[in-house]
Parts: sequence; C-alpha cells; structure tokens
Amino acid sequence: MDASAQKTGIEEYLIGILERSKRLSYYARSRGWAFIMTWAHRIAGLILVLYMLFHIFTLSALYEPAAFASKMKFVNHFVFSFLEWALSVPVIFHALNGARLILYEAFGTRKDAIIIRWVFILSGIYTLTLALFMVMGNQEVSAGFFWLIVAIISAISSTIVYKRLWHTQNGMLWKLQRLSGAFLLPLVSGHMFFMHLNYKAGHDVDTILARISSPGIKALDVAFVTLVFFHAGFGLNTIVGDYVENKRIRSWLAVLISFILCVFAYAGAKIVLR
Amino acid sequence: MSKEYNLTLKISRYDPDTGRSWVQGYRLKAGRILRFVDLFRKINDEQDPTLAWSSSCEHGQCGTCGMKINGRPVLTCELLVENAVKLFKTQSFTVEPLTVAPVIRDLVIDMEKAYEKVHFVKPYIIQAASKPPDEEDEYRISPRVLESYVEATRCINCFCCATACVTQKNYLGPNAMLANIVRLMDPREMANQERMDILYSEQGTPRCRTAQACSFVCPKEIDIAHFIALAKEGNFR
Amino acid sequence: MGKKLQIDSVLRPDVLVIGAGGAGLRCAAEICERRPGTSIVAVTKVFSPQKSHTSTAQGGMAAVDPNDPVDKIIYHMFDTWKGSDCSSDQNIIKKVCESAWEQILWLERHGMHFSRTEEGRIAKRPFGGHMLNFGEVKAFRSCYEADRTGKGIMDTVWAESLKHGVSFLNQSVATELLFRNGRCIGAIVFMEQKGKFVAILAKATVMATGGKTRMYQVSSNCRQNTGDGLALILQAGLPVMDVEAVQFHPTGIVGPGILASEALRGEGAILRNKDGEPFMERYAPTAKDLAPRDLVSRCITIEIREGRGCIHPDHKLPHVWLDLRHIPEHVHKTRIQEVCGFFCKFVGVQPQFELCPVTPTAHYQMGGAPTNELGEVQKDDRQCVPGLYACGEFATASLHGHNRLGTNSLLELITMGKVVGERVVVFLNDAEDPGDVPQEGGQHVFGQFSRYLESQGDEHYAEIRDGLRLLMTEKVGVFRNEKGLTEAIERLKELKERAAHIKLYSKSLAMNQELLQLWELDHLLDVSIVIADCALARRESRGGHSREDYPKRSSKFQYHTLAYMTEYGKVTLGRRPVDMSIFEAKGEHYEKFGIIERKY
Ligand SMILES: Cc1cc2nc3c(=O)[nH]c(=O)nc-3n(C[C@H](O)[C@H](O)[C@H](O)COP(=O)(O)OP(=O)(O)OC[C@H]3O[C@@H](n4cnc5c(N)ncnc54)[C@H](O)[C@@H]3O)c2cc1C
Ligand code: HEM
Ligand code: HEM
Ligand code: SF4
Ligand code: F3S
Ligand code: FES
Repeated sequence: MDASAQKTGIEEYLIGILERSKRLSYYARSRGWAFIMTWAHRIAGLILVLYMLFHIFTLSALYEPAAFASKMKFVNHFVFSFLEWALSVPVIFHALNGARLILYEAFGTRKDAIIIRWVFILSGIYTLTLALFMVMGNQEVSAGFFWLIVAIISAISSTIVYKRLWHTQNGMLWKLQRLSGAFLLPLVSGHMFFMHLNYKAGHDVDTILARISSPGIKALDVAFVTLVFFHAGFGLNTIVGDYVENKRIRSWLAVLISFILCVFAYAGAKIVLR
Repeated sequence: MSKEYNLTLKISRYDPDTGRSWVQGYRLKAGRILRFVDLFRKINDEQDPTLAWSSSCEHGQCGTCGMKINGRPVLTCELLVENAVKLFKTQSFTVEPLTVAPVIRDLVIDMEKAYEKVHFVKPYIIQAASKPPDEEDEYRISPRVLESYVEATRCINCFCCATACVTQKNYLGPNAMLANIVRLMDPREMANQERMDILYSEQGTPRCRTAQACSFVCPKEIDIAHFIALAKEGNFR
Repeated sequence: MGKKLQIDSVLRPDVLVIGAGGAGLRCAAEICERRPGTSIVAVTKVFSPQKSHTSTAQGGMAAVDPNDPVDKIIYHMFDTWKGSDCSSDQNIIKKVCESAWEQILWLERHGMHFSRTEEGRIAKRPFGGHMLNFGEVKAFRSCYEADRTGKGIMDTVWAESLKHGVSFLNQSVATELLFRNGRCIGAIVFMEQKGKFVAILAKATVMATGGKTRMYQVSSNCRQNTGDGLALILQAGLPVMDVEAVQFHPTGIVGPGILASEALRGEGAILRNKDGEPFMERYAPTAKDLAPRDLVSRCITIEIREGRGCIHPDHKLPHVWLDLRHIPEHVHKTRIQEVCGFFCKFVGVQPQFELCPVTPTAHYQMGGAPTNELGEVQKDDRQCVPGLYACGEFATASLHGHNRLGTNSLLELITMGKVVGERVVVFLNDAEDPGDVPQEGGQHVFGQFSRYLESQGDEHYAEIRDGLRLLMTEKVGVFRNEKGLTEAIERLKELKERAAHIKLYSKSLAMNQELLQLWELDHLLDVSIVIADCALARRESRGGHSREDYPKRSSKFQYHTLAYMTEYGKVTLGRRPVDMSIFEAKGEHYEKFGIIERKY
C-alpha cells in the first residue's frame, strides 16, 4: 500500500541524501518522510508569520517615501536580495506542501509519495525561475491582467475546496484554514513572483502606489492580508494547542495571538485603503 | 554456524523507589534471529535480573511490548536482531519506553493511563441499529462494506503510533481516533452524531497534521492516516 | 527487609472476576446485562484486558448455523465426543453445542467484525475434526474473523464490559482465595504496579485465568500463562481435573512456539526430517500430513528422538522441517500469506524458498478446575464450593475430555462464560454479604512473598526455569512413560527445593518483575508435579495423554482424574465419572455416543 511504497520508493532515495544529517536520518528512519515534511511545514509557516509582521512594518512606510526608500536602500544590498530570494523557499514549500495536505485530507489523494516528489520538483522550479527573473529584472506584465488571472485561479481553487469540505462536520475555523490555504496558494506564489518580474514592481514607491490606487488591486490586497492573518492566527493557535495542556493558559494565548495579528491585519488593510 | 552479533543495548532505566532515572549499557552476544524480548530475557538471565520490561503474547498480537528502539516505536517481540541491524545499520541500540504514559519502572509504562483515551471514544457499539423483528439471525454486512474498514479493526492498541505522532498533547492519538472511526464506518452503529462530536472536537481531527508517522510505524501496517483523512473528508462509507 | 507485608485496602464489589480474558469478560457482560447495577471488579495480570491471551487465537469458533441446509448440531456433538477420545461430559457437549449459534449472534450484535459471505452473512470455514454425517466429509462450521477470531472476541467482550462499567484492576494478580465456612468470599490481589495488596471481598468469585502451559520449552502460550489459577485452587485444598491432558500442536515455530496453523498443511505443506524424507507417509499412509494434531505431534517427536531431527543453530532446540517451497506462488500470496509471514518475522526464513523449522508446541491444557454444568467449582465429584465459579480454559466442565478440537475452545469460553454469568445472577439474588477479611487472610501469600524477599540462597532463577522446561518437555511432554514420570516427580521435588533458595536482587515490591517470576515459578512447579502425578496414574493413552508403555486406550480409565495437593509432591487422586447422558437418553443416533473408536 501507500505506506509501504513510501518506505521503499522516495524514502530510501531521500534518506541516501539525508544520511549525512544525523538528526534527519534518525527521524526519517523512525517516523518516516512525511513526518519531516510536517515539521518543515510548521517551521516554514512560522517563518512566514514572522516575515508578515516584518512585511507590514516596512509597508507601513509606503506613504512616507523617504522612509520607505531608505528602508529599500537597505534591501538593495545583495545580501538582502539573497534573503529575499531565500524567502521563496519557505513560501513555495509551505504553499505546495499545504496543497499536498489539502489533497490528502480532502481529496482522497493517497499517492502521497508521488505528491511529495512533486512538491520538491515544483518548489525547485519555482525558486530557480524566481532567481532567474531576479537576475534579469526586466520583465513587464500588466498588473491588472496578472492579478485578474491570479484572483480567478484563487477563487476557483478555494471553491473546489469549499465544495469538498464545507458540508463536513469539521470545525468552522479548521475548514476556513483549508479554504484560506487554497485561496492563498496562487495568491502568495503569484505575489512573490510578480514582485520580482522587475525591480520596480516590488521596490519602487511610485510604481507601488500607482498600482494600489486601482480598486481591484485594493480589494485583492485587503482579502490577501485578512486571509493571511486569519490563516496565520489559526495556525499559531493550533500549534499552541499541541503543547499547552492548561486550558486557561491556552485561551489567554489565543486571545493574545489573535489580538496581535488583528492589529497587524488592520494596519495592513489601512495601507492599501488609504 | 549461524552468525553472531556483538550488540550494545543502551536501556533507559527508572527506579520508582528512589525516583532515579539513568541509561544503562549492556553488551551481549546474540544470534541473528533472537528477538528483542529474547535479548531482554537474556539480560535478565545472565547480567541483570532487575531489568523490568513488558511483554505478553510474544506473538505480535497483543501490543504489550512496544518500545522505542533507536527512536522508532516497534513491537520488540517482532524485531529480530538481524532485521534491526539491517534497518538501523548499527549494532548499538537505544531502548526507551513509549512516551504515551508515565514510566512505572525501566521499560514498563502505565498503559492504563494510555488506554484512557481509547476508553473515551467508546470502542463498542453505543446504540445498535434495530433490525426487523422477524429477522432472527445476523446483520447483513456486505463484504465490500466490511472491506472499507476491516483494516482498521486490526489495531491492537500497542500505542506505537501515538508515540510516533507529532502531536503528543491534547490529542486522542491515532489509535483512539481509529477506534472511533471504525464504529462510524460500522453499519451497525447508530450513535453516529455522538461519535462525530468526539471526532471533530478540539482533541480530534484538528490535532492530526497528516504526519503519517502513525502509518509508518504501525506494526499491523494499518494506514491510520488514511482513516483519519477519511474522517476529515467526512467519508464514512 | 523491614518492609511489612499487609493488606493495603479492601474492595467490596458484588462479583470478583479473576482473569479478564475472553471467558471472564463474557461472564461479566452477561451479569451486567441481566442485572444492571451489579458492581464487578475484573482482575487481570496483563496491562489491559485486551492484552489477554484470547487475542492470539486465529482459527475460529465452531457453531452450527441453523440456516445451514446440511450441518446439524448432532454432528458437532459427535465430533466433539469423538475428538475427546470419549472422555468429555455429554451434558456439557449438548449444552455448549446447542447454544453455539446463539452466542455467535450475541458476539455479532455486540460488534464483532466477523468475515462475511457474498450475501453479507457470517462466513464459515472448515477446521480439523469437524465433519458432516458423523465423520464423512468436512463441515463448514468455524465462524471466523479473518485470522484473528480471538482478537475479535476479546475486543468485543472487553468493550462490552467497559460499556457496562466493569472496573478493571490491570497488572494485578490474584494471590490467594479467601473462604469463610467453605464459601468463597473473594481473593487477595497483589497490584504489581504499586506493589500493594488489596483484599477483594465479593459475594461471588469467578475464576477464568486461562491457559497454563508455560512449563514447556516451546509453548504457544503467553508469558503470563503460568498456572497461577490452578495453583490457587490447589492451595485452597480443592481438586484439579484431567491435567495430564496437554495438547501439543505439531507445528509450532521453533523458539517462540508461535503456531503455524494447520492451514499450511491443508494447502499442501509437507513435513520432512533431517534427510528430507516426507516422514508422515510412513506413519499415516492415507491422511499423511493432515492426520490429527496429537498424532502428528507424536510422529514428529519420534523422528526427533530417533535422530532424524535437526538442532536449530540459534535456538538450540530440536525440530523438523515444514516444506512450503513447492506450493504455487499465488497460494503463497493469497491464502497463507499471514502465517508464512510469521516465519519471516520470527525466525527470518522465507517459506517460499527455504525450509521452515517447526516443532510440537505446548498449546492447550484440557484439564483445569472441575466444574459442573453450571460452572460451579467442585470440591469433589459431587459437591460444589458456594460462591466460586470457573470458566474458560482454566475450567474443565468438561467439553474437551482428553483432546480438544480446534475452534471448540473459543466456543467454550463464550458459552460457559455466559452460563456462569446467568448462574452468578441467580446466586446474587439471595447471597449473604461476605463479611470482613478472615483472620488468616493473606497469611499464605505473605509467607510466600517474605520467603522470596528474605531468601539467602544463591540459586539462579533462569537455571531452575530452564531445568523445569527441559524436564517437562522430555519426561512429561508428548510421550510419557513410567520411568520418565517417576524420575520427573523426583526431579521436580528437587527443583522446588532449589527454587526456595533463589537469590533475589531487587527487593522492591513495586513492579518487581523478578519477584513475580519467583511466584510464578512456584506455580509452574506446583502444576507440573500434579500433571506428572496424574500422568503416572493414568496407565493408558487417551487423547493428548500418550503413554509409551500403555499405547492403547483402556476402559479401566473411563473417568476423569481429580487431583488434590495439600503439600508439595503429596498428590491424592480421585475420580469423577464421565457423563454419558446423550447415550443414556437413547434418543436418535444415541449409539454414536457410546465408547467408540477414535479413528480418522
Ligand atoms: C496461539 C493460539 C491459538 C489459538 N487458536 C484457537 C482457535 O483458533 N480456536 C479456538 O477455539 N481456540 C484457540 N485457542 C485456544 C483459546 O484461545 C484459549 O483457550 C482461550 O483464549 C483461553 O481464554 P480464557 O478466557 O480462558 O483465558 P485468557 O484469555 O488467557 O485470559 C486469562 C486472563 O486471566 C488473567 N490471569 C491469569 N492469571 C491470573 C492471576 N493469577 N490473577 C489475575 N489474573 C490472572 C490473564 O491476565 C488473562 O487476562 C488458541 C490458543 C492459542 C494460544
Ligand atoms: C500559500 C498558501 C498556503 C497554503 C496552501 C497553506 C496551507 C496550510 C495548511 C493546509 C495548513 C494546515 C496544516 C495542518 O494543520 O496540518 C497550514 C498551516 C499553517 N500555515 Fe499555511 N498555508 C499557506 C500560506 C501560509 C502563510 C502565508 C502563512 C503565514 C503567514 C501560513 C502560516 C501557517 C501556519 C503558522 C500554520 C500552522 C502550522 C502547523 O500547524 O504546524 N500559511 N497552512
Ligand atoms: C520578498 C518578496 C516580497 C516583496 C518584494 C513584496 C512586496 C510587497 C508589496 C510591494 C506590497 C504592497 C501591495 C501591493 O503592491 O499589492 C505587498 C503587499 C503584501 N504582501 Fe508582499 N512582498 C513579498 C513577499 C510576500 C510574502 C512572502 C507574503 C506572504 C507571506 C506577502 C504578503 C503580502 C500581503 C498580505 C500584502 C498585502 C498587504 C496590505 O494589504 O497591506 N508578501 N508586498
Ligand atoms: S494503529 Fe497500529 S500502531 Fe497504533 S495502536 Fe493500533 S496497531 Fe498499534
Ligand atoms: S502521526 Fe499523527 S499527525 Fe496524524 S497522520 Fe498520524 S495521527
Ligand atoms: S508481546 Fe504481544 S505484541 Fe509483543
């Protein structure tokens, strides 16, 4: 069955590479590859949350071009460009692996070993292409057209998930987590890609301000920021629930996390709506 | 002549009288097809009669002898020295008790505590489907329906899966989830709503991250993750 | 060792069930259903009732389906009688066989996952010794849940007891029965985990401690089957019955003793000796490898004795080969995969390409505590002990006489468990309160434990245990004879003496496996010597009891052996007549239930 296919196929192949890391091969042998994927997903998710906080913080300076530009200057340093590129690894891994999880949990896709392979292949392709575009830095695409396409794909993918999951008795928030994941998948990967089509798209204040003056993009960005922070909030709270046994502490942490993320979401929304 | 191995076992020990825990190393020679339970017995016989470990059937059928060998939860009555050497590529093994319940002594854990979760999901038919009064014989269950969940009935509650799972707290654990799902798939059970309430509660499905370590380690080769995913899909037929 | 042994607390349930296996919990479930609100405490040696040895039974549970057009209950009764070598009790046979199907339905309705036929009915398979038309063709009579019928039963009765709120004392052992004026009022139980004694005072006590064949080198029984129940009965001055009848399964996997089911030989597997000769052809030219269990076990033992066996390089045990190499691949893949997997898992052999080492394995104890047809424990051939009941493999009612048919044991557990449950309910209606812990309560076990704790000797537990196993296997095993048995009895006394001087390293009471092993060893030694004594007295061969010096069955021994032992080695024997009520009723086919020849 699948479980055993996993043990022999991809498992052995990847363990060969992993053998060098003692910790990883320990878990690969004792818990299986998917277990490591779960941890990687969690770590990537946490990195993304941190990045989002930072991201909103920098974006909030958009309307003070001087401050923003000075922040951006910092970004121009090649180390930072490299970090920006490196961010695509957790982004695309979390996105694709999230898709894998949704496929497994809601679409009966049990050929998981194959999907895991695809998560790696596609992630690789994405990060390499992104690197290529970053180096070239001269692509032009109509923002409206690009975002229209992405919005449509997002709507479709989340509708499919909605159809599959909404009728089940799973918790409402849990279902929304999957829905938001499905919506974010095209959006986040597209967002990151778009920002690096050319240098200006992501880093030049005027270009950005011009773009977000369009009501369509405004709407999409607001949806984007809300969903991301909802998704992040639910994610963080589930992680807390895995470790904190005391119910009272758990509730307080939930309130705290939700509050902080709401503040950021509000700040984010204000940026585009102003 | 059959091959002999020079093994090193690093066994976690705990003495409830003094509260001391430590790791004790044992070196022993063993033939290729001794099982780990045989090794423990050998240690008892030849080196240290005080080492406590648990087993019962030694057939791989009762699920008493689960332990972590080099981190992997296994039934020690099924693990041959030869296979362990092949699997872990070493002749040195750490032996630890499962993590699902407090340790009582050395490798023996308080299974009763672990079982509380299985009790919680009510592993029996809560309310049986009623049958037409003239039908004196058995329920009719088509082999195809049975086939969809029969794998899951093979669980022996060894708690290997629960030990391997990413989620260790506030979670019913893969095997208790399985016990609940089996009855949801069993056409004789009527109290489905009660079961769903448990299934989707905070300590149910949301705690499972599809890490599939449960399926990976299950000595009965039950694809537990598959059943839990069926539950998330709400697909019980 | 200043620690004082004492009773730590007292529990007062209505019913105490000692041994929460298949039989014990079927009984508990019955009591709860009939008399809701009855408080029951079930004690088990293992970690959870679910871990009891019933879980390992593979084959199935025999029952004649009333919808079956060809099978009849009378055939099942006949097969059981014939299988027992004419020494089971016919009133029990009738009772058990007649209520078999009802019990299958009970299990099914309470959630057991039986395998199904195309129509969705419970599937049935043939099994050794079960025939149609008084031994003509094989019958489809064994209801099964794949190859884990016992597990299905165990899960069902355990969950049912759970549902009704039976309280379980896991990892606890009954160490002494309590009596007042001849009535059983409960037991002293030692809770291993905490190292504490608790007195359980109950209106009724049900014993169902299961199998007891760990005294053999190779045994299919679990680590906990050390004959504690029988030892407790003997201590209390009560008799045990027919213990000389031990069933050896011919094909146990060398070493762990795990069963390689008859199904393998059913599919064409051949037994071979050291020289590769298919030796069963010599002993049973027609039935060959498919001859009955006891016969095949004897043939294998002869081969080994006459030097045509092998010695296993790893387990250092004698064995013969089971050859599965010629069996077509699709059969390997589809029909015998699981059992073949055992060879792979437990001895690292690939049955498709290699020979598999097998040896007779001690499998089942036909004998046990004598009970009447209501499951009441007897103190002699007529009188019963008030308040004390027994069922399951521990008890002998006797359905199996001197040889048990495959799948009849699970049947017995469930039916007799229910019968005892019914009986207990009646008894509870006007049972007096058990009162307080008797003055002398606990003295016996405290004596035992302090002896272990204070032992000054330097004997090794392992040596004595291995000595006992070797001795029992060689002298009181598949074959017995006068000389061997007399010698065994003497040697057992020596071993018992030496056992008193085993050095104990850990003096703690909590979860001290070493301490408990000594206690178990004592019981193994007790039961072993009774087996040897009974075997010596029965100068005939009957079913699982096979005397080289008296190879034929004899009408002089047409009775059940009762044995008492008040002091180690002082065994007094008694008799209980074999019930012939079916024969005597002179109903239809009664002649089949006379003293018939057992021939296959
Ligand atoms: C490998 C194998 C395969 C078998 N296959 C079949 C088959 O196919 N068909 C069939 O009909 N029969 C089969 N049998 C026989 C049948 O399974 C057993 O006879 C039956 O399970 C015994 O059930 P029980 O309830 O009497 O005892 P068990 O299930 O053994 O339960 C005994 C209980 O008593 C407890 N106990 C023991 N001593 C004490 C003590 N001192 N204090 C407290 N508790 C104690 C134990 O912990 C346990 O809970 C098989 C047996 C084996 C070993
Ligand atoms: C891009 C598309 C995304 C998809 C498809 C996606 C999908 C998922 C899914 C399915 C889960 C549930 C995992 C589980 O419970 O097992 C999850 C968890 C999580 N996600 Fe996302 N996600 C995406 C984007 C993001 C973003 C942008 C963030 C951060 C801001 C994020 C943060 C988290 C966190 C913190 C968790 C919790 C991880 C855990 O439970 O271990 N995700 N994601
Ligand atoms: C490093 C590469 C990235 C760059 C250069 C970048 C740039 C930007 C810019 C310029 C905006 C302004 C709004 C717009 O133009 O539409 C924006 C908005 C946003 N970005 Fe990014 N982004 C990057 C990565 C990410 C990632 C990885 C995420 C998700 C985890 C993300 C989430 C968002 C969100 C949610 C908004 C909307 C904010 C709001 O409405 O206030 N970005 N990003
Ligand atoms: S599901 Fe598998 S690993 Fe988990 S308890 Fe059951 S048998 Fe053991
Ligand atoms: S390992 Fe745990 S996370 Fe889910 S799939 Fe299995 S229960
Ligand atoms: S001892 Fe029963 S499964 Fe290992």
